[in-house]
Amino acid sequence: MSNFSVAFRDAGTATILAVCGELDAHTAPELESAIKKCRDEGKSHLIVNGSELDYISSAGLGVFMAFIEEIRTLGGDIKICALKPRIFDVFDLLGFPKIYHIVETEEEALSLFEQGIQPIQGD
Amino acid sequence: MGGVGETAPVSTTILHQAALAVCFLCLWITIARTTQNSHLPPVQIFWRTILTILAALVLVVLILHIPGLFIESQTPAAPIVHVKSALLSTILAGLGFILVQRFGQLVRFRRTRRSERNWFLMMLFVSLTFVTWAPLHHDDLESSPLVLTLAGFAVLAAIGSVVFIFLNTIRLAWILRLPVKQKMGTLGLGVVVICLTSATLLLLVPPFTFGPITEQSYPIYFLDFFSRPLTLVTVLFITFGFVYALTSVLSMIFHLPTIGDYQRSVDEMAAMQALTVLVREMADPEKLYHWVVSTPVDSGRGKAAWLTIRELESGSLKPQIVAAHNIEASLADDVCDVDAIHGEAARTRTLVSIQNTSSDRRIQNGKTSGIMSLLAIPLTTRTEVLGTLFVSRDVAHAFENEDIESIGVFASQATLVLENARLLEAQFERERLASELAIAHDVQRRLLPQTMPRFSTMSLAASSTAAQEVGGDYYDLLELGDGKLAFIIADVSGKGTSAAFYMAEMQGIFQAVAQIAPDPHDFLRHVNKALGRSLEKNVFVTAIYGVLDCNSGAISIARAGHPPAAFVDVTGRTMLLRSGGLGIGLDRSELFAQTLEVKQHVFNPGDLIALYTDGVTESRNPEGEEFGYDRLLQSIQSARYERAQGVHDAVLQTVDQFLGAEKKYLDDLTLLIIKWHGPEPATHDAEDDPLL
Repeated sequence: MSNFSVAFRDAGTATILAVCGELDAHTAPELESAIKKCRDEGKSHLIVNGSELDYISSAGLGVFMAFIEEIRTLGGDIKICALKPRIFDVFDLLGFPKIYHIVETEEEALSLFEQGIQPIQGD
Repeated sequence: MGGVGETAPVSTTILHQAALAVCFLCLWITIARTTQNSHLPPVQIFWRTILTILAALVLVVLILHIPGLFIESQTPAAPIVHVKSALLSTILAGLGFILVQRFGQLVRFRRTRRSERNWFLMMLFVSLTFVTWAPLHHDDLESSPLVLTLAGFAVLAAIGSVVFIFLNTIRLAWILRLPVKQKMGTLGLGVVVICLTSATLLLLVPPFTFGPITEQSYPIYFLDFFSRPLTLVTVLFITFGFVYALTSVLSMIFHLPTIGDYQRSVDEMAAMQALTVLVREMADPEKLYHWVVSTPVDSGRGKAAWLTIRELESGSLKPQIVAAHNIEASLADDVCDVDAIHGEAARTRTLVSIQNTSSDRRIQNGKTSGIMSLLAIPLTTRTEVLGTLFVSRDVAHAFENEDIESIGVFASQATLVLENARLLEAQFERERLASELAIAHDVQRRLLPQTMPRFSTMSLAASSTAAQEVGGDYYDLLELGDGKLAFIIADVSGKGTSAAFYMAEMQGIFQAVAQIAPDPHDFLRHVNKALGRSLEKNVFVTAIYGVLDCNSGAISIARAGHPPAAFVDVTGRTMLLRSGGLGIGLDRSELFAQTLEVKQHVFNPGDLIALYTDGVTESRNPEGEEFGYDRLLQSIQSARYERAQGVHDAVLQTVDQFLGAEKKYLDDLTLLIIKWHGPEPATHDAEDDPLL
């Protein structure tokens, strides 16, 4: 049933969360606890690699919203990369690209962190 | 004992006997050590007793055949006589000790305070017999009043011993619990024990020799020569063995005809009891728990009992004592580390038996609290451990295999009852929840428009289906006066009850705010501000809101993160209106207002707009394929000549066909169609009609 997984990988100062499968109301808690774990370990530069993400529901999108404020307060960010076009469309419809850095590749996301480019958000 | 002629001083006799007493006490303790730790079934006890008696008899006969007779008149006695008498005394006293301790295990089967007391008193009187007889020299009986008094006590002690031997030999509780086959075996062995003990007694006490003591080969004379008090004790103990075997055999014979009935009635009673409980107490967990703890105590298997249950609802992993019988729950909790014992029982899924609580770290002050032996039985179902039943007794080593088995059987029965009760409770809960949800469903239905407003210039059709009883989809229409109509479609992220609450909030906001701030930009900005306060961090709402001029067909529309509205014009041209706008709740700053775009359009007759939630486009067929935008646009396009209701039905029909036979909506699904027919086609017709 649960065809979703999160894998951790360190890349310099950032932590890459490679998500795989379907992120819906049932699997959202997995990503939630993964991000919580990073936060508790003091890792706030997070890159979610969605190259293997096949589906995302509104509950899945909610996970990003739940933590972004906190992570940014800690001086970090959640950046999203390598989304499949169909998944990007879901993020895009909702206006996520206005609030989150959503980029093509992990390298881009990493360089955004390295350059210290702040997210676009208004406040 | 010295000879007749010379009288040893009383003090020497006392000293001599005291030394003997110490030696034989050591023997007693040694035997006690070896027999106490082995808890044998009755058949084994009888069997070993037979072997012991046989061995003792063989030794006695062999020793008696050593030349050197006891001659009363011959003083001082020959050394060989001393050796023979010491050996015979030791062997026979040892036999007596073994008999008492072996049968003692049977006597104290399912011991009670009373049986413990009787046993203790028997031992006390026998010891007193030894002690009071010790200073007596049979030749000095008349010599002093002190000795006379002592003799009186000695007689009393001997009588007391006999009385308590009798009282203890009628404790035969173990027979009742014995399986039929073992009962038969024990009966046979019991008869052998009777023969052997009586033979030993006959050997000891010459039945027909009461004459003057002369040259004798009877061991009793050797024993008496060695120590008269010890001889008394030995005779008392072997007599005890004989009488106990006798009462056991008789009792078993009397029980034989009723064995079958007894077993059946026990089983039936247990079954009936469980059944009654099942029917009556199921609904009341308190009563059920009480039944679980009181049954082992009432059946006499335990002195006190308590039950711990791990309450999953309360979320605490520590098991709580939910019921206690014959003991205060708080006391049980203080004395025992309930958590640790429950933990072990739950982990191993087997019974934890603590035969002596004073040597177990997890029990403190067991003795003062009357918890000397303790059983902890996990109540295990196939999938989980419901709790642990604790049964305690106030004596150490009080639980026989029998008790443990019986309590174990009861525990599994109790588990069944408790689990059934839980399932029933869960069923009630489900039904209650279902009726609550049915009410919520009705309430939510009423938040949606009950009827569609009617206009001459356009037709409207809408529907909303929740995946569960309640959902997070919302659509609504509101006539603003001055010929304008506000419309909205919204989707709260997530499903179910929490989404339904936000949906209700959305309805309130729409009805109120659309009146005062009908402009799409103003309206959505207000909504974002109002909902932003109450939405949880990970919840958002997507919406499309618009205002349509019912006279001119001018439409002003904005999208807040919602799937784009579909426009289809009369020629079949389709377009997804994908204007900028964040989902409501995504951003609580000015970014929301900054990014929100409002689109203006003027309808031509035949144009239609379809608003829908992602339940439509993300519907998946059994193959996992999504319905998608193309199928949606196509289905609208091919039905574009229909009125709104026709288009609406066509789209839903296409979705249903796509989903296949199961037609199971995984998400809330809402569709709103507004079709513009143009101003006054009826008037136009009328103008053309010459009849009017």
